Amino acid sequence: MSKVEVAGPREMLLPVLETIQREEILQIEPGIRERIREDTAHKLRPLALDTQVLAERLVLEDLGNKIGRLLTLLPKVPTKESNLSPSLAVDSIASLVGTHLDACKERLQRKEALQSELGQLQRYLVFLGAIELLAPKGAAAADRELIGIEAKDPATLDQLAKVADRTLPGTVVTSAKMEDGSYIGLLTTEKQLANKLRDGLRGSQIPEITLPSYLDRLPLPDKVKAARARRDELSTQVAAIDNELIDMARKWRAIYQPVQSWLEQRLSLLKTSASLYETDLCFVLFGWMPSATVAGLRQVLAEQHGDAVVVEEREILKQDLETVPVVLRNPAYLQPFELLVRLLPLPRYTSIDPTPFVAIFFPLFFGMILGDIGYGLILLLVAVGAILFVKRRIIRQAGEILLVSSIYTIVFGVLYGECFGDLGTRLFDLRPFIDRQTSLVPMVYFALAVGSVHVVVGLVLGVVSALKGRQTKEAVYRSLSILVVICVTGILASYFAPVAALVRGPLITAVLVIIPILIFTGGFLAPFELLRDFGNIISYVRLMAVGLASVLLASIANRLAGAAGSVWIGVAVAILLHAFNILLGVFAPAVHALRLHYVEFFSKFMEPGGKDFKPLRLAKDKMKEKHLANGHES
Amino acid sequence: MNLLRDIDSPGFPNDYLITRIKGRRAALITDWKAVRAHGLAAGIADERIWGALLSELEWLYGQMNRALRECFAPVFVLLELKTIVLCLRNKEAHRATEIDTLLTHTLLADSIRLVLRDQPDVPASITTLVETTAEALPGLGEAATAYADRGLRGFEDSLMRGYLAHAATTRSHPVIQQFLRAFVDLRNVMILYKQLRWGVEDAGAFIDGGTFELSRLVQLNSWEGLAKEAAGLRVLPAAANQGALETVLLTSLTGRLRQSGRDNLGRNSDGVGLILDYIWRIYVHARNVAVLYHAADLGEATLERELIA
Amino acid sequence: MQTVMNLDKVLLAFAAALSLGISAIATAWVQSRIGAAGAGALAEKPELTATIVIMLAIPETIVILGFVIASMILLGK
Repeated sequence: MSKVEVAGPREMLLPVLETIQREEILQIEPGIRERIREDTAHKLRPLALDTQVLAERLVLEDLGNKIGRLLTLLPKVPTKESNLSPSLAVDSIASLVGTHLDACKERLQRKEALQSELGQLQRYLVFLGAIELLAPKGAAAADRELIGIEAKDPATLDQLAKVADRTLPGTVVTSAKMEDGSYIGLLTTEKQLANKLRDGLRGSQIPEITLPSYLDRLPLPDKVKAARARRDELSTQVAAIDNELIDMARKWRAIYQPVQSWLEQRLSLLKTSASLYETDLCFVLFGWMPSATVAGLRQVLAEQHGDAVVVEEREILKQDLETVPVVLRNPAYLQPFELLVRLLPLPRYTSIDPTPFVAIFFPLFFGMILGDIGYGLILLLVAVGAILFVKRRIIRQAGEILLVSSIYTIVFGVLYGECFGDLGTRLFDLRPFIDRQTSLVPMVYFALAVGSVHVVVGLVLGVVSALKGRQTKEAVYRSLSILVVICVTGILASYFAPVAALVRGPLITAVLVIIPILIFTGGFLAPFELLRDFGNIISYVRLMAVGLASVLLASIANRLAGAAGSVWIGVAVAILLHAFNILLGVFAPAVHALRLHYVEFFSKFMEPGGKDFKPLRLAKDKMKEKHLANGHES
Repeated sequence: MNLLRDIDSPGFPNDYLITRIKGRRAALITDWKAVRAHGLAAGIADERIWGALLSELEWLYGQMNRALRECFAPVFVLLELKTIVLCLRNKEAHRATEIDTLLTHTLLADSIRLVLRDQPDVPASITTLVETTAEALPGLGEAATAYADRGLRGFEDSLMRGYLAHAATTRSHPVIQQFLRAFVDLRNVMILYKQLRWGVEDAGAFIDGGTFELSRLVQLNSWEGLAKEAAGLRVLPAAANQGALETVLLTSLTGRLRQSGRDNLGRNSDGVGLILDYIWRIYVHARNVAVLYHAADLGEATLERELIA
Repeated sequence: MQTVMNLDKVLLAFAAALSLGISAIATAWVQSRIGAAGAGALAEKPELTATIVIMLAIPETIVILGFVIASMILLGK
């Protein structure tokens, strides 16, 4: 990173900013001003925009809001790229957007009204259907009146039936359950009693179903017919409005979307002016940019704006280190793993970028835990699919991580002799090199060995970063603790591997010699710090434990499938359980492998607190990505 | 009868609420100097400030689980007494819309809300309130009498005293109890200050329930006694007026609450201290914003005195 | 009768079960608290999702240690 100062004549501010925005390599940082030379600082003052620019900003903001609202209202349809130039179209768009917004709102309101009527009608139809079933037929119907009521709870209806039976003889209560779980009841009573009954119902606050007026007078079969006709009519109307909206969206989205992204870009430019400074004649901006790009920017600015615009590199002071933004810079094949590093706060500017180590160890751990040829192949397919067919960058990167991890999974699967658990052994007589299910203890040693290596690598990186930060004492302390860790590991190992017993004595002597020096460099708590390192190493047993759980689950899937009797049920059970195990098998190893990095590994050398590098950039890419994502949803 | 609104939802675990509060706490203004330098955001008015406070309290109350709600009931009621008084004052001035705004976010029980909204005037409201809630709200009975004698000011004063004395002496969560007692102390110091200032002696004015014996308070009949014993201050604030003393006392209470909010180990791991600290913070925040809004042109010195850091 | 109880074995199995079971309960308790707090943090800052998932996995060390102890009890002589 370089700290740069860009200065130029005030009237060239916006064009210069535009150029910088197009280059996308400079992050403006107003805070730097506080730390520049005293003698010039007082001449600088925060840049005040002239009224014209302010007015432009207000107009654009308003327009942006309107377009944003319109775009959320319009249905999402895939659109073609339009080659209209947004900057030219803005004026005509500004006059159009109001009308479009109103038209769109009006349609949506109409649609909502229609839909609510439709919903109501649907209930009536169910009700009428129930009446058709419940109502007395033929002559008996002539002098009777029907009252429909709605109730949430069947108990209400029972109650009602009892009461009606007692007070109004000749009233019949029949009930039916509706689709939404509520009940409708039908009271059949004599005509003269009907009004009395209605009053009673009103008094006890049981809602009577009243049909809309146009249905009221018709006889029952016609009622149903009329209601159906009305329903169809409403549905066509709703569909018509939908079509209108879709047409509108097809026609206008392609125009509004580029205008919106242009607006965002322009606004972000106008807003940055708040973090700029001016002198009487010049504008000045301070910022960070990758050192390699400074010369390029200087050249571009000179080409486009002549030699009036100056780019100067400044020395990075010690107090700047807190705020230097961080770019993770890795070769292309390591870049996907930056995703995993970015999940945590970024490392500080002076600290080591752990991405390469994550790229080595993460897939290894993942493979060690999952270790199954069958699962590995499935994940491989998923990963390839994600890389080939998904356009979102983050998913593609995740796919690339998964690809590497799945290859390791297959490799370890061969070692463990597992293919869908023990299915491989059963079907193809797959022979394991190490059988995870039976050789628990060797697996624990293996996991611990991997853990020791990982932790020691972390500790070594800690020494490197201490040296980088010129903390010699700390570096000595960290190197000594590495020695102790290695010696103690060796001593412990000597109990399990008989050959190594010979070195036990010298190792113990070494530890006894180192510990006093350790206390001298790291303080009295230093030996206890070491305990943490050993705790960390033991934590790597999870590599074996989680894997064991997964392999047992897989073989249970096979055993259950085998016990199922019928072949098809067995296959179905097996597929279901294996699918479940794969889900678990992706999630658990990923989380545990990550955790081993974040907690056990990173803590040895990484100082968090880095700030992400956010250069002034065109908003277009983001918009495009968003647009594509929307296209996939719809 | 419950004084506060009943909420159906069972709420969320303490840990959930604590994390959310920690997230929200960061959004409160802490650097009042910077705000004074740049001015407040546009569009602030009294209703907005109180509305924001009340809606935050409403949010908090809605997120709490039943145990916490019960635990914090005395604090919420204490804050809501102000709502009752504000409503009555608005009723006196016939401002129905203001009452509605106040009542949208209030945590008071529906029965009290209906009384405050629907009764035509202040005496009728107070009578109905006494009829419906006198049992649940100690101090209401005396407050009604006080209203007859001294109007709404008397009502407010008496209601506050009655409720505080009751709440501070009723058993509650230790952190809450401590807060209530400290609050009573604060009021007592203010009363003592006023008595010294105007040269009156009225032992009956003090509120029971604080950490001081009432008899001892009455004996502290000097400025030094006030400063050293009661307020725990070494010297009286330079411009010893009422506002300044109150600010100093409130600031020290704020500090104590913050301490109890920070201490979340062992017995205090239930987060009550932290939540109380947050309630107090948003209260102080609202008060400071209001001070800035009303006294923006009173000059630096006054603001310095009035703002609670 | 071949069902002679080997008390040693029973005790060992019981100890192993306890060491795994209790550490699992401890993990569950801690995870419940972290989960609740994590949900709270998510409600305020949705961008923390990944961090919180990782945080949730952190106390699993306890149960792993329990597992190590249990296997030491069962496999060690």
